[in-house]
Amino acid sequence: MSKVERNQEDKRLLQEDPDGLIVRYQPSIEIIVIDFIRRGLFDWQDKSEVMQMVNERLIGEKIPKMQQQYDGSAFVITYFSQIVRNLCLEIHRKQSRKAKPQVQQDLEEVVIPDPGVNVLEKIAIEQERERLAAILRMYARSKAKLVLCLKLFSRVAVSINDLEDCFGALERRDILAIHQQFGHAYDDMTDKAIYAYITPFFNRSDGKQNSPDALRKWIQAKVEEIILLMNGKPKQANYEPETLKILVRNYYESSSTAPV
Amino acid sequence: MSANYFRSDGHLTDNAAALYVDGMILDKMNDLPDAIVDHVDDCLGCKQTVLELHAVASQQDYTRQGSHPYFDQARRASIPRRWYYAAASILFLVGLMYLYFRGERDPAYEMADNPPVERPVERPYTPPKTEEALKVEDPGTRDLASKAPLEQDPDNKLLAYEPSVVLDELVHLNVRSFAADVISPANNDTLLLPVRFEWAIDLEEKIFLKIMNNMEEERFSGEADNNRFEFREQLAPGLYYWKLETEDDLLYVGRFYVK
Repeated sequence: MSKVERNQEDKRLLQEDPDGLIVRYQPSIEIIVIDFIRRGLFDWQDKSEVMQMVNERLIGEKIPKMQQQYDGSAFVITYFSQIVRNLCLEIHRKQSRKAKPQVQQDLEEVVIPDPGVNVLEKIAIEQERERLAAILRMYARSKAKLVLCLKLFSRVAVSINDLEDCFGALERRDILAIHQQFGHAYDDMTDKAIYAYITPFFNRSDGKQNSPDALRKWIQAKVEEIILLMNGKPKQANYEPETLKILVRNYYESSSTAPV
Repeated sequence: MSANYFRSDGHLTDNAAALYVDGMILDKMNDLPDAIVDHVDDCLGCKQTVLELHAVASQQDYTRQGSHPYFDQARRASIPRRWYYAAASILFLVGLMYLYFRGERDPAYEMADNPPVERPVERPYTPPKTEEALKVEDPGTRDLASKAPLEQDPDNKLLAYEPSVVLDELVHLNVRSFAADVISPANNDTLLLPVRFEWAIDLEEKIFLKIMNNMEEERFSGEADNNRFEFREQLAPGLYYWKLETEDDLLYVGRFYVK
């Protein structure tokens, strides 16, 4: 099959030969079920059974809906993956209701109780870094401010680029002054001192009159959001602010490929 | 294509979530509909959905999917207009040149413009016999007097600000992540001469500074001591790039404009 025709062929299969599409997408279904297993939502020994249930639900009820509802804007493979994810979540919820005490116990085993370094020791760090990168990309409208604040929160050295992205309206001397303050190690500065220093620059750049406490609350809200996203739903990790700081430092300081 | 990205509960439809994830995987998030981007920016639940879908979708093979039904359609829709103008401009210029040369060389045009008061005797055409006659003028070999009008041409002035795709890519990559250590000039600053370059890279190796114009032609190369260098020579107005290198490695690439 030629390179250009793959998605076209998938579209045709969805409408004309849905069984063929399901056969073609068995590897995708397996990837998604394994992802759920890795997150502790299914047991390894149930893998084949879950895949079977997904296939039955697809053939029985989902495919006719997909034929009606797929609007052709995304790749079929991505849309199909979203439908299979929804099915897996439904199956997980049903299983949880049936055997709640056992599932709760399983989840408690998955959620690592001790925050801090132990979390990072027990998970694939690269995967966590990728997850954080994906999360940051989703803050499309406030990314520059978020990146700068996340670095300040984690005491990561900020770059001139960070400052220029965030404070486009500030003069060069202001950028250099902030860089002088936060471009190198500043671990000993308190949160209060950091917010007191940076808030006037945000105010000047945005034409606002916010207090340092308002900035602190904004950062705290964003940190809580990122922690919720990192932990997943259903919960699969146990990030807390201090653990997130470790990951953020690792993300920005350990690799030259991390965005600055 | 339907533009209904939201369910009745206000969250993204499966189609819209899949489109968003395609944008992440294909690095086309800037081309996503604003309504979807804004919603995800604000909605924790949809961030969660998109994040989990991205986690599984990114493990799958997208290399053979072919053209994207949304992003490539948008591109197809936007390219023809640009190309239309470019093609129309080229056709117009070619047409003008054709008319100009035909007007100069075509006897019929000569006759039309210059009444045949004394029509010379027609001779058969004979090709030039010497190499000199076959030489095409190389703009680079023109003397200063003939070059001056070329540089005064507004089109050529604009060309001096055309970005170099290759060097821009390096600027974007920040090469070896020394971007944080470069103090000045900031990327895209417009500078007056002399230009002061300053950085804080802690290396034992020698560091060399190079300046290139937007045509990737080297304008300066020299060793830089003490993490700074002041460039005092003349540079014509335009876009320039500067590199910091060791003997083996490219450390940093930046860009600036000269007024």
